[in-house]
Amino acid sequence: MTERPRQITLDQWDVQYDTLKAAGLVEPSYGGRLGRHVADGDYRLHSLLFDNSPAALRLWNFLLTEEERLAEARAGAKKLVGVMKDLGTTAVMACALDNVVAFYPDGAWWIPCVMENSDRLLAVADSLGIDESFCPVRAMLGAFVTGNHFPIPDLLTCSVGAVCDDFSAIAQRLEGLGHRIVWWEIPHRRSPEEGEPTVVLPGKTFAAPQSQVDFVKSQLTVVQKALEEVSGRRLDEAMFSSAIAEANRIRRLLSELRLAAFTAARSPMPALEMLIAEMLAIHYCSDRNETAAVLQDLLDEVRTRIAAGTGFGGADTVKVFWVNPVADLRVMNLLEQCGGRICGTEYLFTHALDPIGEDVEPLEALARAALADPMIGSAHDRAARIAAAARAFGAEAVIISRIPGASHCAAEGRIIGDHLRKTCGLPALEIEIPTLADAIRPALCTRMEALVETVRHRRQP
Amino acid sequence: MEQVIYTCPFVPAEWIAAHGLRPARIIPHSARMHAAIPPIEGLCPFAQAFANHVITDTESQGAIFTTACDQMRRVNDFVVGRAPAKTFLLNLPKTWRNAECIQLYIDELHRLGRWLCTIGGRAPSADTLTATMVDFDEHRQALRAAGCNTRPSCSCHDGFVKLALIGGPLLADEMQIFDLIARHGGRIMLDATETGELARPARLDPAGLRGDPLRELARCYFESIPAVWKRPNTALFDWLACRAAERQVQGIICHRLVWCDLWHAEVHRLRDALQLPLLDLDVSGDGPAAERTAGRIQAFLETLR
Repeated sequence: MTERPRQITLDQWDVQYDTLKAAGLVEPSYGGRLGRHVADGDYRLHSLLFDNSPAALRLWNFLLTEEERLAEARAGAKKLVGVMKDLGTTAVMACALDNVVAFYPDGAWWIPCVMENSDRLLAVADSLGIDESFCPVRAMLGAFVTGNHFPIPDLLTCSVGAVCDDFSAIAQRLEGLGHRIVWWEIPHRRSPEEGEPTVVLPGKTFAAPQSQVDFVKSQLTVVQKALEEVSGRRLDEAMFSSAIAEANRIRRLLSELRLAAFTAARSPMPALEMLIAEMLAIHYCSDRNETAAVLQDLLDEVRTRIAAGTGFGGADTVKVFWVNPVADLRVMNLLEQCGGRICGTEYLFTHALDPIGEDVEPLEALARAALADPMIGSAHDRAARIAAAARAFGAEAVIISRIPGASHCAAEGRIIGDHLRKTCGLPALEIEIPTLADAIRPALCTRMEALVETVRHRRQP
Repeated sequence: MEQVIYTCPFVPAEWIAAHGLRPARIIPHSARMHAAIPPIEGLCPFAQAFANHVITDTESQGAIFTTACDQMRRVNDFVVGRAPAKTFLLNLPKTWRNAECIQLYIDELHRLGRWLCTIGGRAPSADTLTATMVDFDEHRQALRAAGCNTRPSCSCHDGFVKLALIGGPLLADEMQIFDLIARHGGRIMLDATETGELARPARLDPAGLRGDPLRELARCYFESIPAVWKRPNTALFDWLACRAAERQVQGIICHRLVWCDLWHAEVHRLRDALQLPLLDLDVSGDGPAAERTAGRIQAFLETLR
């Protein structure tokens, strides 16, 4: 049970927290006031607007306590595996082992935003020659050097091949600093030749030659061996099958949440909370079961709001499909303040949302999932998938947020924008979001408001 | 004879020639950088110049891109459907220490071969391939022998500061950097750019050639050419350290194009690993910064005297 949906400040959340506690709110072990995270340096929370539901409180507390979970896992003699870059596949493999906790060090890219650079991770990266011409994921390098944000993993894996140069280069620097990395190859997903055995990949948008699936399988075997070595346990098909089933349980929950939230007449959950919810699917924020519980809470809240006809915005709110994650979380708030709402997303990791096949041998299924990564194929393929999703969710406009310095953004943003204009007739806006966008907030608002006005004008008969 | 263009050194010219086509490695000119694709913030000037070359080239039957870097992989997306020539994207594995990746490169050469046949080529017999490989190898050897700039103790270099030029590929109009360096009292003893000696394939091994010519081609190219994008890229560092010592290099100029993350990220490490003075020369490829470049080179050479 919640009151009318509202977006509230951090200070208002603390008042809301007292009210909820007085009403008997029961929380998991990581629960508590959101305001306490500011003491850890998460100053950006002061600038954000949060959903006022207990489900959102649980989501934020879960997200902001991952470092503690990793430290607990280390203290509990579990092996920590840093699975870098592939966003969704190797974490599923690692979670097949109950003495292993997997996480994506890549997630450090949001630390400079959340901590408003107080952690100086970017300055550390700068000092190593990795300056602002690189994607904000360079914060990961700083996090490894300072050792302040996550324990140094017992094993590091990294997918390379058809990945962005920023990440590949930064991971190589990481290895140069003495962190051994198990590299595995993810090739550029190509179109099958005529007559070549072909596999339709999860998500049912992309296809790949069977030979590429077989190749990726061979690479995942390399990861499997490394996991077995670090954990001291053998991984068999049954363990992988079970891990895939668990991953799919979470992916189904998230799929239901996205469908409900994106297609509701009024937005039942703000863009920021939906973004965080989607991120959980990548590696479960280091606790798979709790991820499921957090998502279930959100889904229940969304359904309750939809049934009650409550939510955010009104009839004139413009439905926006958002492409790429934002380096500054606050921008998701800005969209709503400019008259927009999210009605679909493609945050680079749709392959972590699509159910993994359970009707084929597990490594085959995982290889197919890895090959469904939207970033490893052509920008035209990615644009086609975005266009299909934008149509399905009834988007009225698209925002493509560029990631500063990211090698993929320069070329693909224009291709995706052109594709959406031509095939869907949708206005597309490309904006670059720095780690802290406060200085360009007026310009960002002007551009988003112009997009919203354009859509409203188009609605007129 | 139909022409097939490419720019990546991991495309074996002899494989194209063995198919009865004329391979032409393009070193694009910056003047063509914006001929068809407008300026885009963040786009590598070299990748953009090559893409524009392909789009505006009306004389070639085919153009080959590779996945050596993300920028080159992605500019291929701009070219598809816009170039008069047919295009092909060659998948280059980044990892290289396992048999599956070497096999992937060989499989990609087979796929390239099938594509070459669609643009007028014909599949070569083993004898034709072998003869073509030997022919190219001999020509390369002759070039090596004639390459004065790679000799470690050539008397013509006395009094000059001995330098290594390392980094990504040079645009055609950036080749003047050699003259620029000479004017200020330096000599390039080692051209370790991707358009220089760094990217030369290894010499043929007769035994390998007798066994499986295509496998030998993969060894000469994929397994032997060091690259900044390989993971790990230890072979590049070993190669540079060895050559720099051999050529008695006194200083290094790292020539990198803006937005090339791969070379940019390694500058710091190169400085540490090679233990030589290093000038990090970031260039935009569009010419106006030439004076700044000249000034920096001059200052660097003065510090090395």
